[in-house]
Amino acid sequence: MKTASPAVHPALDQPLPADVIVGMTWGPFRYRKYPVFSLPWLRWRTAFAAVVIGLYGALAALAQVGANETWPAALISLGYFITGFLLMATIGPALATWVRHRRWAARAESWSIILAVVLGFIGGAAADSWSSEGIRVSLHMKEVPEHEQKISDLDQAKIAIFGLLGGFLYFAVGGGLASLAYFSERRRLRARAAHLAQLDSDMRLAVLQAQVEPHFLFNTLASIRPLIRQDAAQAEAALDALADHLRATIPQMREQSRTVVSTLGQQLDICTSYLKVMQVRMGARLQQEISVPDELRALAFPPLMLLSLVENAIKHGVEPKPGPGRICLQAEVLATQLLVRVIDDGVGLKDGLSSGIGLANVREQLDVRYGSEAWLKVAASREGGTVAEIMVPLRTPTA
Amino acid sequence: MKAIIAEDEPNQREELVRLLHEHWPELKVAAVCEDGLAALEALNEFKPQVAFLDIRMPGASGIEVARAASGKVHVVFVTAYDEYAVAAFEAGAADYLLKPVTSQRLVQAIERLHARVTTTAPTDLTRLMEALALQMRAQESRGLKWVTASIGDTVKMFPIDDVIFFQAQDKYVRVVTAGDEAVIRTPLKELIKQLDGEVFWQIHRSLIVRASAIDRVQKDALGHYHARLKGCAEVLPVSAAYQARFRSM
Repeated sequence: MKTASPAVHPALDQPLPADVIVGMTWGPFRYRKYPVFSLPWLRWRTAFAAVVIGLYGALAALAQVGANETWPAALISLGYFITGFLLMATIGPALATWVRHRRWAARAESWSIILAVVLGFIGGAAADSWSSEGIRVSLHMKEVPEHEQKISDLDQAKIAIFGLLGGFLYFAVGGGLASLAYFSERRRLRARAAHLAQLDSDMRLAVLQAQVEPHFLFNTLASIRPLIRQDAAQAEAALDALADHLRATIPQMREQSRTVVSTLGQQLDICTSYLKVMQVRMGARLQQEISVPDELRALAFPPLMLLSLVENAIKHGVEPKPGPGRICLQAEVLATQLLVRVIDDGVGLKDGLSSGIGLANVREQLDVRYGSEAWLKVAASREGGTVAEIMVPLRTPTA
Repeated sequence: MKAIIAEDEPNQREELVRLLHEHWPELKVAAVCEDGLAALEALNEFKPQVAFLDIRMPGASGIEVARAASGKVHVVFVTAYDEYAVAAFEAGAADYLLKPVTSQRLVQAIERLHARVTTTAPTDLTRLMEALALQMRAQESRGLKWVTASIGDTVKMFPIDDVIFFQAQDKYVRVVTAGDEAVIRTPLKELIKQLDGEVFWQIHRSLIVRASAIDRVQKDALGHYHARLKGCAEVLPVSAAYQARFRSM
């Protein structure tokens, strides 16, 4: 079974990711914000074409009236002109849009779109000759019988040039340029998906390294070992937490978790098992508080970022500070955004050089996934520790 | 015989006390410390003959504590995994126990300690520990990715790869990237220790520059050298002491 890959099938009713859009997108060019051959794209592109053709046709009609043509005749020919041109510009793209909304597999979609655009050329040519005929009749122009046409060499050259220009115009307006844009958009989407996959595996590797890092693993084992004798129940709970923590992160290495939707709830659970392990190790020294309303747990949240922040807070904040330390996880919805916060009262950020292990990756992932709609902010907290915040656009997972 | 124990994780601390009590009942554990600072105080207060030290601890690392104890105390490092402890052991300076600590290995360490405490004075660890502290810092800086500069109560973070040069100015150091800059309080002397010497070159008492960002170095009419940079309009002085690096360019 084939699953829809976002590389070939972006959401057709939403704007493209910021880094896939090329060229200007202001005013009349706003159709470029949407995937080529999507409904919003078709709507805005048709509107754009209608305005351009309408203006041009209106000028031509005025000129005809100036050349002693009657108003009704000029208006009728204007109607023919606009309808013909619009049909020529939209038949192919409209067919292709219908094709793309079927969401066929990549190869089938490409060939069907090419076919749709070619059919569009034929339909466009028909519309063109229909409207030319209409214009000729409405303006009472005489048809010159073919055998009476005298064609000089110069005329022949002119016809060739106009033919070429006309052909190019047919190609460009009738969906040819759009098809080129469609294929280049697909290339860019694929490159983006590859980049995301790369970042994703970098992040998994970083998280995995943090777990199998000997310091973490052996200290955890050394802390659990004495519990077996003293408090078997607590030893059991500690081993369970360690197993949960490892399982929560390692299996995702193997499965292509990009197809699995990640929610804030799942990400919190991953952090909880990590914090349980750290609680066993640090004992009363570590205080933790997770205050996330239950109804936010179902919201989409990218994988492993939260764990990276929590690990950083423990490793670079609470652990190096003598005495008790506190870590606090919060989440809230602000209008159309989800804000997740990790606060610690550890040693705090020092000026200078630091090795924010996951931070670079978190920032890059957010950038690739959401562009300017998301951010990571790291600041000094009032209690002398650090506050790390991730803001992502509010989305419910679409599986 | 007196000993101190320094370990930041409570379960491990208690376990080490229990194991020592079981296998070395005549040893008196004078202090059980939760962090490096407490260990330093305990050293002064109790003057133990033996110290069991975790390496990574809040406050002060086991390496730093060992340095302070040098020549006075027999040190045993207790560590999850640290080439430092092994290096110290191989240099004949201190024993080490790997976590989780087993009775068998502890007994072996106790036997070695018995032999050493009665026959030899504690080794002078100063030099070795200094070298290890440097190594430790170098290893930490290998993962360096960010320059952190606080502006008010927010923190600006530059990827280290974006930095073109660092310039000392009075008490501060200017950090300049292609499109931005900030000041940090870390002295240039500290920075140069933490930066990769292949990537960042010191070209002046007050300047550290990304080598790959240097476009060309020119001599002016007075014979002074100046570096022109890629992606930055500033022209930086190159002092005589650091010119040798450019001679071959």
